[in-house]
Amino acid sequence: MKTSAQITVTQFFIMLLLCRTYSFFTAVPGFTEPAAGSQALISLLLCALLSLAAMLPAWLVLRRSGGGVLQLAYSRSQAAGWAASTLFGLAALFGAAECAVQYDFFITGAIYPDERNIIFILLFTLCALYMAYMGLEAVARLSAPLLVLLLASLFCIILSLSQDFDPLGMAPPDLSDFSGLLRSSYTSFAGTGELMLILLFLPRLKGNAVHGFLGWLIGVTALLALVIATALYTIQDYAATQAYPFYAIAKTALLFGFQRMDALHMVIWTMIGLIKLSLYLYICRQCLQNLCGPRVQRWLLPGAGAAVILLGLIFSFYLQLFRSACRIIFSGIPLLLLILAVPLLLWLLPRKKEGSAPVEQ
Amino acid sequence: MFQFFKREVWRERQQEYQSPAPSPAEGERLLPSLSDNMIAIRRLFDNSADFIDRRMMAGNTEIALLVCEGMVNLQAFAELMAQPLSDLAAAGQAGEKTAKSAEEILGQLRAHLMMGFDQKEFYTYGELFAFIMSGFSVLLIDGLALGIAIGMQGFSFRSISEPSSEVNVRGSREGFVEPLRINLTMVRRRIKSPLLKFEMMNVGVRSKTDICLVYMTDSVSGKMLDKVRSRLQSLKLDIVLESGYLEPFLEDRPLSLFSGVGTTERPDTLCAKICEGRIAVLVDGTPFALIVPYLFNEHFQSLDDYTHRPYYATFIRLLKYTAFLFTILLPGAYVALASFHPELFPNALLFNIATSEESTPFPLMFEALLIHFIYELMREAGLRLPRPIGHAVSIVGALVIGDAAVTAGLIGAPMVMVVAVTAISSFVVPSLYQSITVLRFAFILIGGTLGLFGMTLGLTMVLCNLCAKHPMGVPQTAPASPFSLYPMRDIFTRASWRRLGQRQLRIQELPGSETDKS
Repeated sequence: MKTSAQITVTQFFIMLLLCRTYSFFTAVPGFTEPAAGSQALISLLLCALLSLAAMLPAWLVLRRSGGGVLQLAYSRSQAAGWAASTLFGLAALFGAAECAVQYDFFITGAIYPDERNIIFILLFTLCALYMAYMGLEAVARLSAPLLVLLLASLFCIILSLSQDFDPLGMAPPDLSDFSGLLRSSYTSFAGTGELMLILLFLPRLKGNAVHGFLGWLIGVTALLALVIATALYTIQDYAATQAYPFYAIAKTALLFGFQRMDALHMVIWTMIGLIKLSLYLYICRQCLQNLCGPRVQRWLLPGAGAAVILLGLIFSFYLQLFRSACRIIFSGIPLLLLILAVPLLLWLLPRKKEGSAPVEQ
Repeated sequence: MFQFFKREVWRERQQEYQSPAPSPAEGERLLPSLSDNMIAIRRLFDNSADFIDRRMMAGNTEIALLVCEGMVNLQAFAELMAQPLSDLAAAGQAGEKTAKSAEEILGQLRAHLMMGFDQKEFYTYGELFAFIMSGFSVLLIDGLALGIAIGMQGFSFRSISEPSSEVNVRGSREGFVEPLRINLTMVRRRIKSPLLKFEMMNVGVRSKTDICLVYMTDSVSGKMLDKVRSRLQSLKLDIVLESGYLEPFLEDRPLSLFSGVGTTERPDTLCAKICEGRIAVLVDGTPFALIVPYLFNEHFQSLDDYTHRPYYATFIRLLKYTAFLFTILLPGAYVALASFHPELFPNALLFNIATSEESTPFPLMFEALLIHFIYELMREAGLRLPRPIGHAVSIVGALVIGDAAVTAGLIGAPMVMVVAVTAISSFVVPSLYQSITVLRFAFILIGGTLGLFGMTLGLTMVLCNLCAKHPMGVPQTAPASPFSLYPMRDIFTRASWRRLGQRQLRIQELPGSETDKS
């Protein structure tokens, strides 16, 4: 496995765009407080602005120091490096487990209701493990065609539902409940774990990361707005009764001779989920390597995979535990800690004269 | 227990086959005495039946002619060698003031007598054997510790004919043949440029097979060329009989599903590839040339694409991509959908499938595996059978699979349709047949056990495997991913020649390439 992989900014932010759409479409509504109706569109915009504001301090810090947040930590002290690697490693581990559990909920809830959770979590994670082993470049190269496939499928779904568009479905947003709107936006922002990935992958990016980030924000907002608008214009109140509204849209869409689109939807979401999980596993491996050193390198990825499977199974069997964990996540505190507090704290620490670097550059 | 296995594996690795070192005698220099040389040569040849030697006197000096029976063109030998040597011998007998000493004879041969264009001098027994066994006639002169090899090959070989594996509707009907030198002439005739370079090497400790690196000096990447050269030079194989022996050594991941090394039997295809900065490897004794690096999209390109109209070529290109997807995914998808997701079929189709499968005794996955296995058996039998009875295979296949199996109720009619479409689709992209066959069986197994979920995981892993490959530092999925707009003009579509000819593209200039651009 290549350890000094470099990918372009475009490839990276395409991966993040896919990860964000995956989080959005497989999130179970009971764990968040989604805005209702057309308020969701406003919520998306506010979420984008929040993300921009939250990333600005970290970007200013890292621009001065050069490199990513782990490089910054190791330039301060070994202890700071270990602490940062531990924090981000744990966050990546939880993100990976959450991704696997979300996928499990989706696949057992919508497609395979009679099957056992363990099969999906195990196989899904093993496949992502293989992808992480293949390397960052392989996953990045896979993302671009997958985005094209996603956009094509969205186009087909919207085209097939176009005759059912009902303008009455899009009621004007109710701005009187501004605090609810803010709450919804903040919850959506709190679930944007991709912001953490940006700080970690910065050293590996070739190109202008700022342009890429702005493009990603705009792309994600536009894409999600399109899907929400489609749901509002077509299935309207029916979407509110469904655990996975977009899957419901795909089921109802009938495109010419291809009939139902939900199989295509399932294939695309599975592939996107695998990309997201493999990214988190890659980060887990990197953080573990910083902590354990190069001697046990060959066991790090399998170890991370085993941890993700274990955690995923625990979450899927003990739903209350998962709910509690999600409540903490969607409070926004972990994300703000990682993308705001950690970079600022590291910036305040004095620079070590001969700072050691992370094991993997 | 684990320690036991670890020890066994270690012991196995220690006993790995070591290629024998060349015989030390082959590196020894020739001796001045002709008799001593002939004794050594006969000993090394061990009285092999095809070794012929003939001695004659030229003045006071003895000369020996050495050939391998059947390797030399007798007419050329008579005109270019026998006659001049006989004149030399006759002049010596007549006492004329001609060459008498060995050095004078050598001087005469070098300066005045042209016994062949391809005339070389050598100093070791190894070179002597290499020349004789390559069809050269060898001349040894008593008193000189060197030999002269004259090229007058006359061994039989297959005539130039249409390549069997790459048939085109329009274009040259010439394909490579077994002798390397003839293949080089076919390439040289098509690119009349001094920038076309042939670099000879030999591989195989025992076989000493001649191979030739072919490239354009203004297009090729120096780093890529060095890599290919060093990998071939470090080969430790006993014998090399086919270009396929060299393929794993030119790949970074020889066990990967898709190869980064391509093959071709066509000189025109080879010329087109080397003009894009690729390196070709021609191997003596086989008509299949290797091309490195070979990208995934090239499996779907053929020379016909560039002679047809762009719209038709584009249609055929898209057809090939569709056929590839059909052939690897259709059987597995059919098994997955019918077993796990029947609701996804349209109602009329679902009814027909259910009716036909109701009467069959086997599960759908087993049925698919069985019929594909039978198909592969017949395909392999058809390849190995002598032609006169080859027709029987097609008749048996049609009867067994097409009729008897369905009538007997062993398999359903929809499955026969699936096999038929799959088989025909696989022949559209013959260069990927190995990968296709393995993937087809794998997807049947996956689809039959895990349904569409398993198929998706399998497909993602295959795509990731493909995306991870970068033969000679060039991403195999380029220029689709990493994306580059201009090269895409010849991937899913085929742009017109006005556009194709605007700018020459070199393989090392594709995005994501790690090789140098120089």
